[in-house]
Amino acid sequence: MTDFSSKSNPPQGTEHAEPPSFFEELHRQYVIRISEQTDTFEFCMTEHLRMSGVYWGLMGMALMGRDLRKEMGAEDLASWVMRCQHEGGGFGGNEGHDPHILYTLSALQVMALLGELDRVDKDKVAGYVSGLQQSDGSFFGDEWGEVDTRFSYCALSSMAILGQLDSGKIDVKKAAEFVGRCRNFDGGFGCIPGAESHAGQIFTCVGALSIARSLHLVDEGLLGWWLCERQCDSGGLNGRPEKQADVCYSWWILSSLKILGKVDWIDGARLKGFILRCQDSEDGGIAERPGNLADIFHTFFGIAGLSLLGYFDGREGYDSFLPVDAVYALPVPLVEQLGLKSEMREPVPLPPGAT
Amino acid sequence: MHGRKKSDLPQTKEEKDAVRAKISNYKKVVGAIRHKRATGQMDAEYKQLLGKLLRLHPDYYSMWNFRKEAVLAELSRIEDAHSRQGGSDDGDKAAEEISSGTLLSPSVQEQQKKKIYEEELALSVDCIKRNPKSYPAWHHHKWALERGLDLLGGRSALAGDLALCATFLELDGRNFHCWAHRMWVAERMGLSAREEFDFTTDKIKQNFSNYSAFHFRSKVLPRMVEEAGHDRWQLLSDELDLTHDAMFTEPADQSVWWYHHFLLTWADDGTDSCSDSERYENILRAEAATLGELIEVEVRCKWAEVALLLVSQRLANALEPRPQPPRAQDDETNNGGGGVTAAGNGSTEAGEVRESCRGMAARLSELDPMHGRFYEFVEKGGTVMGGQQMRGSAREADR
Ligand SMILES: [Zn+2]
Repeated sequence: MTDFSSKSNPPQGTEHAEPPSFFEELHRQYVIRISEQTDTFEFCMTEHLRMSGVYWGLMGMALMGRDLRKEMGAEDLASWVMRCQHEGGGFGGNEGHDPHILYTLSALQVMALLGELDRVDKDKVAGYVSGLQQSDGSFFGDEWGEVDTRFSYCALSSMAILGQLDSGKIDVKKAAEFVGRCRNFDGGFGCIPGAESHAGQIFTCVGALSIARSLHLVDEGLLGWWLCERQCDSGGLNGRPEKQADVCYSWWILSSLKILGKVDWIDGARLKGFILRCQDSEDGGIAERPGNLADIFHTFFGIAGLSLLGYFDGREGYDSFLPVDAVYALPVPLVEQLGLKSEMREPVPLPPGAT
Repeated sequence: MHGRKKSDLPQTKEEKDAVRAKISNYKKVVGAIRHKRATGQMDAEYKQLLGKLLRLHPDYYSMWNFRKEAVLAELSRIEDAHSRQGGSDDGDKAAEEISSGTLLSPSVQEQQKKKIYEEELALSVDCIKRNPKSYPAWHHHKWALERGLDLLGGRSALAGDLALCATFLELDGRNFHCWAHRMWVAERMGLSAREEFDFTTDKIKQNFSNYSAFHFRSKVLPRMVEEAGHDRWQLLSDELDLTHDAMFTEPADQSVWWYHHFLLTWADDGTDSCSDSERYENILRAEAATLGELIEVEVRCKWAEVALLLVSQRLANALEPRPQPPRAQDDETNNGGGGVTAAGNGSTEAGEVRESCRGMAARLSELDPMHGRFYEFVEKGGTVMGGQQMRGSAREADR
């Protein structure tokens, strides 16, 4: 498989046809429908990560400018989130599921989106998060001791949302240094020191370093190059060399590039086309790749990717859409309202005459 | 959820009924487990139900936690039986209790504990086979192996796991969960740099497209010098030969090109003396020549052209060290840099090489317009070779 298209031999197929438009109304219906369809096998198999599922659904709706309090049953949702919290302060992926840092962040994001953060005992949650930090700066996912840079991101983002990033409860500098130790020969980051780079992991690491104001630990030129080489002939992005493109990497990679000020290092028009072709034109929702089954995870990441690409900016009928923040994965106005800080590079302006 | 088609959804009445039955069976098992847990019945049947459920749904993390709880409870029951014996100062009485079966002899106790850990390993392996990318299944496997290591046979158990990883990597040579686990096992075993190096050689020779293997090779290469005492320059030359094999075989495959780029950065890093500098320059010239040959046979091979551009940029920098071009963000720190320290006729050659770089970047923008912004960045002196500072911190981080 080759990653660039040769001019003398243009690739044939749907890639170069005009991509479909964005099926806003279908996606809105899709998000509502799947939150109500509780008798499917998919629903059953995702019960353990419902908290994240709810977050993805709310984010999809929020970015499409919907009123979450009106359309998503905010009161019931917020009460359900609170029922997922444990004595120790952490949240589980669902009622009766064990606390974990992944779902603790999702729970905080959901409450922030619903405007219900005040219902959360912030010191209690911060106590749970800080209790997971290890002496080398890393974080356990829960009491059972798995270490992963995903958890570093969750911890830092959670502490920021709780307004306790600089409270001294966690060692932010050490957290950043641990992430820095996971940097590889290609400029990317893995789940632990020594592990292979992976675009999803790179977002969590670059995001964590951005929150920790430690972007100096990123080899920006090298990583930017590696990330932009994730773009495949189809216009979509893959997560590692010689892998297939997948809509979720539109988010992981674009957000990383956005933080590095290098979104224009990929071909935005072709990526937009890829995401739009992954929409289900009958039932709504966005799939990982064209022709596959849509799910809420890829629906959110597809919409967020289009947002980072500026697809909705200035386009007629999308005035109410909200831009997404590349670090916190929340709508920009909410990030501003919560006063969440991060480090981000300014994009280098295009040279005169460039298109 | 990845890799599913709409047509995988149940269509006919029979298919829908089958799914309904599956869901109801699944819910029954979950319900039974939760009931037993709530009522404190952590018995053999409880563990069996957990095993059944996890084999169906290896990503259900709480169920793995329940399983660990049950294992710990079982272990402490066995240990209790043992410590009652240890605490007894009446040896005869203890011996009697052992023979009557109310107390466990040390060897029986060890055997029972070992069996428990073996069951956990078997369960996690089944689940990994079902979903090779299941984070909690991999974590449970490591948890059981680490906790039970001595009972399981210490080094021989690790060796068994190493072989298991090799089998999994035969099925999917890119499974990063497996590679990361293998890295942990190898560390625990204290595998030598040589052994690790040879493993990546095998994987790469099987398939030049195995980027994961190149990644781990980049980690073990410095150890070959530091631990195994290999000559850095000889090693480099052998490695470059390997990359030439790969790039002439599969020039459009990215994997080798990233490793090639890394090798030259590594070479640059080890360049401390004048004679080193000369060696480094000679290597760059030889690489440029090899890439030129490849470009002749593989017309429009983007990766070869990019590599040639970057090799040329390195050569120009080596011939004529110039201050690091300011990174867009921290101009302040880079002002007042040392200025050009051109050495004799080197500077003329450096100027020519730089001029050719500009031409190459322009050609690449045309050949591969998707990455035009990146070539523009390189043309303007942007670096993808990591500043000394960056590399220094990377070296520190590796320790
Ligand atoms: Zn995906």
